[in-house]
Amino acid sequence: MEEFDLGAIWKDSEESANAYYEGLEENVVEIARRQSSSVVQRMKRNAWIELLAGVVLWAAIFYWFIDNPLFGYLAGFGLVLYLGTGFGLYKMLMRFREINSMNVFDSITAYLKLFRKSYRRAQLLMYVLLPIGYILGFFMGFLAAGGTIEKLQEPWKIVLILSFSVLVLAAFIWFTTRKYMYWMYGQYIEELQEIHDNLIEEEFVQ
Amino acid sequence: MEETFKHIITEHNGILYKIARSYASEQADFDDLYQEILVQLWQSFPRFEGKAKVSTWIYRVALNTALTFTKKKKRKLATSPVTAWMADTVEDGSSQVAFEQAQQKRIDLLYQCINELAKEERALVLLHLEGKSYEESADIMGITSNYVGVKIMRIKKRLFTLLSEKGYGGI
Repeated sequence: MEEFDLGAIWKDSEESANAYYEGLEENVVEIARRQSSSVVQRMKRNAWIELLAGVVLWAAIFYWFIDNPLFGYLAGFGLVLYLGTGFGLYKMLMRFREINSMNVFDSITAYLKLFRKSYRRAQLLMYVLLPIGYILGFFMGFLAAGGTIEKLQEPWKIVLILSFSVLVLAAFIWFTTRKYMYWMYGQYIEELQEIHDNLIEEEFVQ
Repeated sequence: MEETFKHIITEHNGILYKIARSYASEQADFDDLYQEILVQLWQSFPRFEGKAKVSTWIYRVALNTALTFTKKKKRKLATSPVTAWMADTVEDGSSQVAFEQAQQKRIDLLYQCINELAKEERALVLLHLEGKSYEESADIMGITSNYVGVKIMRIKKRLFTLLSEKGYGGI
């Protein structure tokens, strides 16, 4: 089995390539203009959905809780969270516009960086900020339902209710987030990390 | 711009086909990947400044797209692009058709074996089969040409083993 055999076979597949392309040639620009189904495009789409959902949520909070004494805290917390994550995400995605024109090693390294950052961002959002927002929301609900600071004379009750509900919420978030994050980033991180590691050999990488 | 893009793709359509076939074994995945490569090329075309060769740019975009491409799950039909192409040829029993079918089988087998290699190995071996020098492959892959040489030697050995196991000699 000589190498030139493989070269010849490889060349023969050019015929199939031309036959396949003939069927597309007329519409090639039209096809190229279609929506991408890449993971980066999916991340962009998700980012847009998150930002739009944020706007809707804000409008609802503004409508229902404008008179709540804790509204200022929630507004500040939400605004920082919204602007911070939105801007961070936008900046990050812009940096990766040319990711596919880089050489393969640099591109994989950049993809890994992008996925890891997004993964950490999602973790921070789901595991830390969401429970904080939940606790804040709990107190807002308590006050909106006629509760007063004076009524919090037995804080252990509040602590108990909060701890229990946060635990239930955390378990639910932990379970669903793990599934979502693996689908969104985990599978790519695993696979690309393997390719990245296989392309690295200390004495060889440029 | 559209005309230039179309001209470039027409000139280099073989690269797209070979890369898509090396990374997708089923017809539907192949179609998806081929289309995604076209989309990515179109999106990065305005930023292509001509500093690198057109083919280098195409290889980079196509390989990067293929490496992050995930197959859609639960396909019912598992027709390979080759099988689909072969179905178009008339089975009239002539020696020409028999020759073409044997040739197609060999191509099919080669891609089948390439599909079994690790993703980065597929990239390196297809660049090698395309006749790219170690330097050009290194430029596309972002590793040194020495390392390309070392990797190619290992991959070729593995590819030959796979081909032997699948009865390449008998075709």
